[in-house]
Amino acid sequence: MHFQGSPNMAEKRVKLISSDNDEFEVDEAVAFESETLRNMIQDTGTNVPISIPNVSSDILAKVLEYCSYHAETMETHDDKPPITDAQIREWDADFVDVHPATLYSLILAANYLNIKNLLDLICQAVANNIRGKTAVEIRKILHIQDDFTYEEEMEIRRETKWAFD
Amino acid sequence: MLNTLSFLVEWVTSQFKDYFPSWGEVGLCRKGLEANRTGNSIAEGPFTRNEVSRITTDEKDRSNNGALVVKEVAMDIGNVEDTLSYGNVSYEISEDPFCVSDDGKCTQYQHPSKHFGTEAATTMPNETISTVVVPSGMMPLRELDEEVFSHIEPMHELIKLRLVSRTWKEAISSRSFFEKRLRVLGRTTEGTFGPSFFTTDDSGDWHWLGFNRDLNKWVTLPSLNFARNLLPSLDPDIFKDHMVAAADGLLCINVANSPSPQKLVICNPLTQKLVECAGKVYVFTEQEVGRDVFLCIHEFQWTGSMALWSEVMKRKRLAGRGLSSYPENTCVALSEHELCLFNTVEHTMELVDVRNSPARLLPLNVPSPLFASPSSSSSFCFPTGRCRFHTLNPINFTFQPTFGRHV
Repeated sequence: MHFQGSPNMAEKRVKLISSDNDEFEVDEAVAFESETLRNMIQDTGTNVPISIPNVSSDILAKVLEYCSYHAETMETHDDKPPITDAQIREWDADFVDVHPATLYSLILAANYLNIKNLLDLICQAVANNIRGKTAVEIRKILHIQDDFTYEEEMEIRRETKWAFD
Repeated sequence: MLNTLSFLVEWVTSQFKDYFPSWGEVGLCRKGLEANRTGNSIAEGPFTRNEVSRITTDEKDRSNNGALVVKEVAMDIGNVEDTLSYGNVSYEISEDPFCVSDDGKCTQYQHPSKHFGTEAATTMPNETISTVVVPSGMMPLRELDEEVFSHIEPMHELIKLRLVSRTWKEAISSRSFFEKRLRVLGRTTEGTFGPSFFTTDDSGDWHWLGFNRDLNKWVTLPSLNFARNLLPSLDPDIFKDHMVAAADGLLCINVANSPSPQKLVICNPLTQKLVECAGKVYVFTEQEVGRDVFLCIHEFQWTGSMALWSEVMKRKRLAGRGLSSYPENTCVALSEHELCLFNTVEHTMELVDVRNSPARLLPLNVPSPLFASPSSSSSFCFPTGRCRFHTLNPINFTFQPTFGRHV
């Protein structure tokens, strides 16, 4: 599997290895969106492939798609008009329009790779996802076990009743 | 999922046996249980987070010889299944993190005290460095939940999430979380809920409603029923006597029916707790008994189980009208032990030092920075006697509860 970031031969390329041992090659600028990768590249250079054992190929591809786009928005081209904030917001909105399970994998990956903007974006998306849903629905979506006793649940319902009014 | 997990336990056990002999005794256990010494997995799915909490090596623990304790296996977002579906697990071990890859090959073994750099990492025996492994993330995984919660607005929607699980309830009741949330939201409060009023129903339960200006509608605010044993059964005719003040999510209610001794409740309706006061709280009241009006200052102390308060000053007001027209005096803190008492009719001020009993009453022109002549550059009018007080008139006092950093 080969992931193409914005190809720019003048730039250094970085090799990343996913948990499934797939290799991804991206521009240094793309990898630099991740604070973690930036620190590592600055320490070790671009010659050594970087293993990312907590992130699977599909999730890493998605993360790099984000990094690639956002690295691109920082670039200026003479022939193209700059990307507007509205366009970025629209792109971001499309980006997070995925299954909740994928969002959760992305949260972990964004945290692991320390990509602050991506983490904020996904946390907001997850928040939108669970907002307004009942506790039962949320438990189902997020595979959370109901660990309250009946009495405890009744007690919390009483305490929080005001929020449901 | 259970199969995957069992496999993983076996695999981890076999994989590291050579390096750590006691790994043969590793067992996966539910939180609260000791590691199973025989190494049998007592794991039974489905797991939720926090349930699978550690893998521990019994013997190393006892000998205290470099104990290897996996403190958290479960990720905080999602459950173990989510985690395992990565095909990978990173075990945070108290001394050294292991990165375990899919194909059963340990890619890297690294001491956390060493940063990535030229001396990148110590390899497992007989392994050569072929790759560099990404270290752990920027924040503990349990904080990721809070990160998500911080994006949920308004406050009412957030409170509903307490019903999901114990972990969520704990997070959404913690003070540190609400502080973090406000930082994320870039605000100082959860909103302003005024005007605001209390009602009671036939069963005597208290209800609290406020007008949320952000949403432009009336909303129900946290019930005060948790403090029912402290709140009096209300008489609608004298309810107006229950003075209320609010700041930063705390609510202070004078629940006494005059002329009985004052009774004060300071609570945090959002966490449904009576609030522990770190410092001292002084309460100034004007009380009317018969035709006389008294100026009182009380000290409030919260002992952790009960509210204590003692009288610091009680002074009969000399002249003037009854409280039914309006209260004349108002009081603000000057320092930890000094209160300024303003008479908004006479336009006079007194300084009350609460360390002394009876309180020391100082004349207006006491030498103090507070009464120094205003500098020529300042447009602020100091109360030197030439100025008239207007904004301190209690009639202008608005009660607008907010939920801020103390929630």
